[in-house]
Amino acid sequence: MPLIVTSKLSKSFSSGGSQQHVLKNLDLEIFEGDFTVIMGPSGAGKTTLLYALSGMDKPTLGSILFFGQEISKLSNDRLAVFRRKHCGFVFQQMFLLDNMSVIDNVLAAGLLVSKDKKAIVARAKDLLARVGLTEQIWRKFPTQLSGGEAQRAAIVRALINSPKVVFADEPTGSLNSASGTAALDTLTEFNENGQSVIAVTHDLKTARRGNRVLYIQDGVIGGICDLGKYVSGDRARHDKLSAFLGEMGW
Amino acid sequence: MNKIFLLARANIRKTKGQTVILAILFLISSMMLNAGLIVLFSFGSFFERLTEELNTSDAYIYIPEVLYTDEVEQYLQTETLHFQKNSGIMADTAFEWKGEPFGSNMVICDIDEPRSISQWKYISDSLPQTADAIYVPYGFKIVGGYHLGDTLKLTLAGTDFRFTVAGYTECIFQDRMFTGDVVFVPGARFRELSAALSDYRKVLVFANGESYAKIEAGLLEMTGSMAAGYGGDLKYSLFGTDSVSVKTSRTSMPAMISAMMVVFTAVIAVVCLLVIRFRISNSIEEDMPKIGSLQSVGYTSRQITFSIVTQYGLIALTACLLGVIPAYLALPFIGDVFAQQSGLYWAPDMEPVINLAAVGALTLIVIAVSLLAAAKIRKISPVRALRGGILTHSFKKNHIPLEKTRLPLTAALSGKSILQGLRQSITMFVIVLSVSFTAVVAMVLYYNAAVDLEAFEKVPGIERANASVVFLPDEDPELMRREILSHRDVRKAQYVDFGRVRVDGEDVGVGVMSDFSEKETVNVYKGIFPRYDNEIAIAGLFASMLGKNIGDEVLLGKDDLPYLITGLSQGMESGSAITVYLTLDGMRRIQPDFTQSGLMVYLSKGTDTAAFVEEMEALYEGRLISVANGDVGFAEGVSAFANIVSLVGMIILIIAGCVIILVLYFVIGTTIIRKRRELGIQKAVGYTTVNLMNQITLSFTIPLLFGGAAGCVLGAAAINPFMSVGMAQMGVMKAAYIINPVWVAATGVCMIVLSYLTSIFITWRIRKISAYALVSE
Repeated sequence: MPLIVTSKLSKSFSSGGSQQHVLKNLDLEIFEGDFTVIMGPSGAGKTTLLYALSGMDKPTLGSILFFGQEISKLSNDRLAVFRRKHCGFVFQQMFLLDNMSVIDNVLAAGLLVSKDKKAIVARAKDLLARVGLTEQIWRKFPTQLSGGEAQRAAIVRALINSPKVVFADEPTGSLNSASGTAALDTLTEFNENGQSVIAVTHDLKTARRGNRVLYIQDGVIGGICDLGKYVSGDRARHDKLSAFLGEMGW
Repeated sequence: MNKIFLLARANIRKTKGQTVILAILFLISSMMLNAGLIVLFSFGSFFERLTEELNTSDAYIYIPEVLYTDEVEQYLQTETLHFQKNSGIMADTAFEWKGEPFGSNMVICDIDEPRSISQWKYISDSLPQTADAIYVPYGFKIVGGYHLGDTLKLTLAGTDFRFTVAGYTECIFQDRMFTGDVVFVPGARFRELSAALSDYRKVLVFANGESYAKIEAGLLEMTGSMAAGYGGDLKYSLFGTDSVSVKTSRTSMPAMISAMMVVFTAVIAVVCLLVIRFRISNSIEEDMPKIGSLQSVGYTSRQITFSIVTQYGLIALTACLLGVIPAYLALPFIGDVFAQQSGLYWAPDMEPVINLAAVGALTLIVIAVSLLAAAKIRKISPVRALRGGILTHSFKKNHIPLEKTRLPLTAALSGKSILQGLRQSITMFVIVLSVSFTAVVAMVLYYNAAVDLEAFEKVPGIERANASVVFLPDEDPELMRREILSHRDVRKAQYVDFGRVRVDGEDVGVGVMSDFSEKETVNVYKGIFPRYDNEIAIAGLFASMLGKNIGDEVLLGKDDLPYLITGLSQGMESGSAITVYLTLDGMRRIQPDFTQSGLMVYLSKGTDTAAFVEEMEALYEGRLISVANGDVGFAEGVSAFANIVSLVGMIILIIAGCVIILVLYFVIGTTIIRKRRELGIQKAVGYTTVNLMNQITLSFTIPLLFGGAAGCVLGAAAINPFMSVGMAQMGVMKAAYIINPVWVAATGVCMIVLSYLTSIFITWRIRKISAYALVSE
């Protein structure tokens, strides 16, 4: 079943008196349970597409059906409510709230949706433990964490409300190799348990985790590659992705 | 230097909105400070210049012509260095004032009569002199509603006379409350009036030399006349005072008002400085990468610091200079307000020294505060700044952990914000406290001057009665008192007399009563009124002058009889007319033939005093010297004072409201800019604009509530001590303004509600911060 369906999705920005058309009449479908990766060259419109799909930004034209609900016409506040219920976000810069401890960062998102405080605290602790963050780390402030720890905390925040989809924007962009891998492992693990993920990336390692890769170029979909579920060390899968990206001019 | 200016200009351009708000705050401060200082320093010197210009005598005495004998003239020649005689008519007069019937004494002078001392002058334009011309005090224009060419109908001692207002005049000895308005008419008309009102002719004596009190005491003794018209018959009363007392009564009110303006300016200036400090700290945090970038291209920390100092110095200097303009625009208006009380036309000159001092002081303080606030730039290295800077917040404690708190999410997040930004909360608390303090002080002034005038009515310090009756000397005072007391509308009648006595060598005014416990206007602020014939209460100012206090003795009369001081009194009249209080028996120890004459009549609530006065005149025709409506005279006297104070109170209240709006706009606006990353993250994870508005507004509510409440309490507690200092010069040693708790609480609530609404209005800007804008930055 498609999770998200877009129809003639367009997004333009005005800059210096001229219009810049970033997304051009995109028709696409994203499916539940997928790890969808959006790739493309810089300025192609990847991030713009991600934020349009997640209700963080509104399209200029076209429609977005999110689980059958048209979200492109919602007001900003209704979009906020929509995001808190259905979307989780993982950003390149993590964007944790500096003035809160790790667990409070998670709960600040969780308590927004759940009225059952005990349950949400338990879930937060469980998720934090699952991503390998110890109790000692839960009490720390984001500035006291390593990049990898901060990104895992951000992933937990994204997952706390059991969203329909986690949107990840360059999730490993500011991490070292080991931390990046750990973050991807976490996302992959949750995806394997049914969590839909949509990630924007430049990074081949991240792309390999996806089962479906959308290549966007100049605001249009240049191609789609179905890879199947991620299996570590699957050479054939790797080659297929490389061939696809080569074909796309990557 | 150019580079620094370039940076400062760029900073100003970047924060136009905030620059405008800061500039407005400085403009208000500068306006009030300049206006306050000009009044403070210029009004007193203006009075002295005018006194000199008009060659004003040291004292004046209006002596009934029938009492002015050769003996009196000889006495004056002996007792004064120099004196001048002029003709005058002094009569009780009815005329229209502000479109309403009004009654007061009036002194009519001959415009053609030459004067070498105590001259007068025209103010502004005047019409050519005609037979029916009259030249009236400036107050007739600005308060009475008269214009050049208007007809002025005067009912002088019961006879109507018509005049045309031909000009406005001023002279130092113009005092409606005491002598009545001084007007001038052409010589021919004066002679005509003089013939028609021969009983009311006075010799106006303007004298230089010895103290007025001594001359008056001598004249009273010589003529057997009555002093200073407290209900006495105009035909036989002496009127007068000295220039020092006149100066005190004319300039003390402007001095007090200007001192209030300067104090309130100080409060606003403190608020502005707190705001600047707050703003600079925030801008350093916000601009950290920019600071790093400037350092990396070779700017020194000192240059960057100076660019910030220049930025705020320029804003302050420009705004303060601009503030001088509205100060000068407001001064004529302030002058007109003072003229209501002083009767003098004050046209302030340019005061560049005062302006430079005010602007310079404000700008220098801003520069000093900016330097201190920007000093931390020195500690920032380029690399650290480029990486986002020093850790501006080193959070050590996770206040109100969400895991454990029972607070709702919004309240918990607000609580975190308050506790983590404690310095900001304290800044906000102090700002709201200062402005609420100012607002409450202003409100108490307004309340006392416009709503409940009881405290103001005590300011003059004279007994407040509805009417005063003076019977002919051959009537039995006690019998007449009982007769009046039996009137259906009279609830009390008692003698309150005035005279002059010598106390420790000083001739002063004395108030005399048989029993001071019956006095309704209790103006003894420390101790008690005298009860026995060897006791005395004296004015606080006079006591300070003598170096005496309660329990000390003073010597009275020619025989230096000792009297024990039982109390200290206060009131504007305490400096001149009524300086001490004696019981009737006490007075008779030094003046055995002292008789009671001024019967104060207190009417039942709701009685028409004017009708009562008419009834008395009809009932006791031929037995009365005079009967006066105390309500009218008193209301007029108090109203000038009350009008000024209520106006000042209202203006300061409005300014306080504007300041709190501007400051909150500034502080909350800055906070939103500083927190935009945090707000953007919260929006991204699903917080709505309303969620965030509530969160921010709540975080400001605690300091607003506590600051507002503390400001109200402090304001209510400080107003009387504060005003006691301000009014001490006027003889009011212990101000007792009514502090209505409901009004104080209402002011506090209004300030808090205003602050809350302002914060909601400003936080509404959060809707413009999009999560997408944040992540795409």
